[in-house]
Amino acid sequence: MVVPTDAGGSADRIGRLYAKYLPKFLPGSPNVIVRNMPGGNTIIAANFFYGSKTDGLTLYTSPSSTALEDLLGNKALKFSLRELTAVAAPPASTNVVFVRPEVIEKPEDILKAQRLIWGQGAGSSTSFLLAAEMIGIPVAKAVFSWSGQADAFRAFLAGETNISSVSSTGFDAQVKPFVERGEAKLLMQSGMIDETGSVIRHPSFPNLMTVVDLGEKVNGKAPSGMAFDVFKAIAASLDSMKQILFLPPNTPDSIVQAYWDSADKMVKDPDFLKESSALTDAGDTWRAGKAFDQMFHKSYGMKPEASEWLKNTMQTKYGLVLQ
Amino acid sequence: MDYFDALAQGLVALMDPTRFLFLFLGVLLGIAVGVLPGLGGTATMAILLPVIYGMDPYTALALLIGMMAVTATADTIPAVLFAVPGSTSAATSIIEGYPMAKQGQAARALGAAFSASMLGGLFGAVVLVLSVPIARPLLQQWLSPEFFMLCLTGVVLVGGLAGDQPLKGLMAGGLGLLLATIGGAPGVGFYRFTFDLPYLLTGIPLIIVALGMFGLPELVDMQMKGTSVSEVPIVGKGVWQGYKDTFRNWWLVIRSSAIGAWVGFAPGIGQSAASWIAYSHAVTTTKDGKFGKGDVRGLIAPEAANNAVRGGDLIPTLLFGIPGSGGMAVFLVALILIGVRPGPDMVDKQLPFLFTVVWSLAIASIIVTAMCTALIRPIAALSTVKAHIIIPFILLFVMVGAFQATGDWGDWIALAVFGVLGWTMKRVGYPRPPLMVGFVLGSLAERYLWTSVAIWDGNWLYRPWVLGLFAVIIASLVFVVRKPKQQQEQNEPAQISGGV
Repeated sequence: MVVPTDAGGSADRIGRLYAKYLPKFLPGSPNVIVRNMPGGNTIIAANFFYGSKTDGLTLYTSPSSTALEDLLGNKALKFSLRELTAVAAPPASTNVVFVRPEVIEKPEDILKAQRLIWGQGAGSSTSFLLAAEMIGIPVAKAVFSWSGQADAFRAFLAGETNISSVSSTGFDAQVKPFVERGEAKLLMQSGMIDETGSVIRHPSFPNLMTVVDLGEKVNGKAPSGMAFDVFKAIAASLDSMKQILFLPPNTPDSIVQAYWDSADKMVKDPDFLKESSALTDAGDTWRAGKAFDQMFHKSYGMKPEASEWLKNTMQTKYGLVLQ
Repeated sequence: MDYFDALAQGLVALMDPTRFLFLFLGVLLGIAVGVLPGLGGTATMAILLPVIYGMDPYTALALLIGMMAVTATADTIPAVLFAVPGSTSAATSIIEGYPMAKQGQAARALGAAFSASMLGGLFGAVVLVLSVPIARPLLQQWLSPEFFMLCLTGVVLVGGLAGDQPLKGLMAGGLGLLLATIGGAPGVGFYRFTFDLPYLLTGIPLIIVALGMFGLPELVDMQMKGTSVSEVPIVGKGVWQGYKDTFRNWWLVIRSSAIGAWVGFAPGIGQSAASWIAYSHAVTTTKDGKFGKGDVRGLIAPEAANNAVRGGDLIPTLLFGIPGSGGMAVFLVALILIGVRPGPDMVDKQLPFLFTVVWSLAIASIIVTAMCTALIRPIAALSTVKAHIIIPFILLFVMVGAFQATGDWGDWIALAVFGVLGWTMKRVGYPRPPLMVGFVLGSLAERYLWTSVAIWDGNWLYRPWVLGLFAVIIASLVFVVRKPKQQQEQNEPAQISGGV
C-alpha cells in the first residue's frame, strides 16, 4: 500500500488502519505492507501507484493534496482520480471556523469585525476563504504560511491571528477545550453536501450555522454565484473525500469485487470501528464498497472554468498561488 | 490537586514492573533508531501506533517516551566515529566529535557527549515541571518576528564566528539559505527551482544534505589515505575524561540546555536547529577555543541542547494540545489513541499523568547514558578498523539511510550531488557547518519572515527582541570585519587539513 506522506500524517494513520484490518476480510488474509513515499506534494507516490500492476497488490491511500492537485489540473500528476476505483473512505468531515472572543459578540456581527487576520496552515482546504468571499466577511489579511493546522492554532492562541478553521476530525482534540474555556468562539461550519447538492449541517455540529445559514442571516439571502458553486465542488470533492483507499484503473472485476466485499465487512467490524474512532469524525459513518465507488464518481470533480476562477480569485485577492 | 502529591503519584505509577520494562524496551528501540541514519523517531513512533492501541496508558507512554528521549543521545555514535549523522540533529556533533575521533579521543568524545546528553535530558524534564504555571504567558511573548530573527542570528553566528574564515563562512551560510528555498514557497503555494522535477517539489530532505555534506566526503578522504578513522592507535581510554569535561563546563551545559528547551518550546524549529544554535552559542561565548579541530565544548553544547529539546517540545504538546514538531504530532495521536486528552485539562485533572511523562523522560535519559557509556570501549574500537574493511559497511549505512528519506531514486542522486559539493568545499577550504545551518534554518526563517511581513507589514522591525537580536548580528559582523586579517591567513592551512 502506497502512502504519499511521512509516517504519522493523517493519511498514514488511516492507511495503517486499512493495512491492519482489511486483510482480515480479504481472501487468503494477505499481509499488507505500508510504504511511505513522502515528497513531491504526493505526486511522486501517486504516479508510482498509477504505473503499478493491476493485480490488486498495490493500493493507494489518497490524502486531499492529491485531489487538490488533480482538480487544479497539475500536469505533473499523470492521471485523474476519476480513473481509479474507490474501495473505502473514512466518515465525511467538515471545517469549523472559530474566532478569538474579543472579535465579535455573536456570529451575526462578523461583517462588522475589525482587522480580521485569518491564519491557516499550509495545504489546508481553501473552502474557508470561499466561504468568506461568499458572505462578505471582511478578511483584512489572510496568512497561509504556518507549517500546519496546529501551528496556525498556536498563532491563534498567541494572538497573532484572530480567525482560523479546523477540520472536524481535529476539533475535539485541539480546539474544543479552548472553546469550553471561552478562549475561542465558534462562528460557522462549511457543512456537508447532501444528495440534492445543498449544504446541510454536519451531524457532529447540529447547532452550528453553516456558511449558508450565516449568509442568509447577515445578507438576507442565500449565497449564490461562482464562489458558491466552487465552494460546493470543493466541499464535495475534497472536504468529504479524504484518505480514500484506491485501486489502480483496469483492475480485473473479480479483484475489485473482492476488495469491495472486504471493505464492506471491514467497516462493520466492531474492533475496526473502535480503533478508528480516535482518528475520524464521530458524526458520520465509514463508507465502503461499490456504493461508495459510485458515490465518489458522482460527486468528485470540478469544471475547468471553476478551477480557473478559483486560481485567479485566490491569486488576485489573497496572493495565494495555486499551481 | 497538590503539586507534590501529583509528582510522587507520577513516579509511583511508573515503578510498576511491566511499565518499567516497557520504558527499558523503549530505550533499546530508541538506541537502534538513533544509531541508524534515516530511521527517525517520528517514523518509528508512527509504526508503533497500532501496537500501543489498547495498551495500559502508562505502559504505552513509558514505551514511547523511552524511545523518543534517547534517539538524540544514540545518534551521536556514528557522528563521532564516522562523520555519519545518525539523525539530522547529530550533524552538529560531527564538527568537533569527528576530529576528536581522528586524534584517538573517540572515547573521550563519546563520554562527554553522553554525559552532556543526560544533563540536557534532565534539564528538559525539570523545565517541563516548572513550565506548567508560566507556559501560557510565554506563548504570547515570542511571535513570528522574534523567531525569524533567532534563525537569522544562528546563521550569522555560525557563518561569521565559528570558523577562521568569516567571509567564506558567511558565503557558505548564504548558499545554505538559497538551497533551502528549493521547493514550495511558504504561504503562497509557489514552486521555486524545481525544474519540473516532482522530487524537488517539497525541497531536498535534510538528512540527504547532512549525509552528503559530512558522511561521503569523510569516506572519500579516508579511502584516499587508506588509514582508519583514528590516526593514532589507542582509543579505549578517556571516558572519564569526557565526563569530567562535561562537569567542568557545567555552566555551558546549563546555558545550552536552556537554549534547547526554549527552541523546543518554540514552534517548528526542532532538534537540528537547537543543536546549531547551541553550537554557535558555545563558539561565541568561549575564549581561546579551537573550534572545528576537536574542541570538546563544541560537542557538549549541542548534545545538551538537542536532548533538552524534548522537555521543551512536550510543553505545548501536553498543555495546549499543539505539537511543535512532526514527532510531537504523532505523539499527540498516540495520546489520543490511549485515551488521554492533551490540552488545558492536563494541568488540573491529569496532573499525575503529566508527571509520569516527566519521570519517564528523566529516567530514560539516565538509563541510556549508563548503557551507552558501558558500550563506549567496544564502539570506540571501531574507529581503529582499517579503511578498506570499514568503508563498505559505512557506505551501505549511508546509502540505505539516504533512501529512507523518500524512497525515490532522487534520494541517491541528491546524495551524490551533495557529496561532491561537500568534498569540494572541504578541499577548497570553505567551511561546511554554515551551509548546514543555513539549510536547516533557511526554510524556517523564510516562513517566519513571510508571516511577519504578512501580519505587521514593516512594523515587525520595531519589536524589542527583534531590535536586540539585530544588535547581536551587527555586533558580530563588526567583530568579523575588525578581526586582524593576518590571523585569518595564519589559520588557513590548518582549516583545510584538520577541520571539518
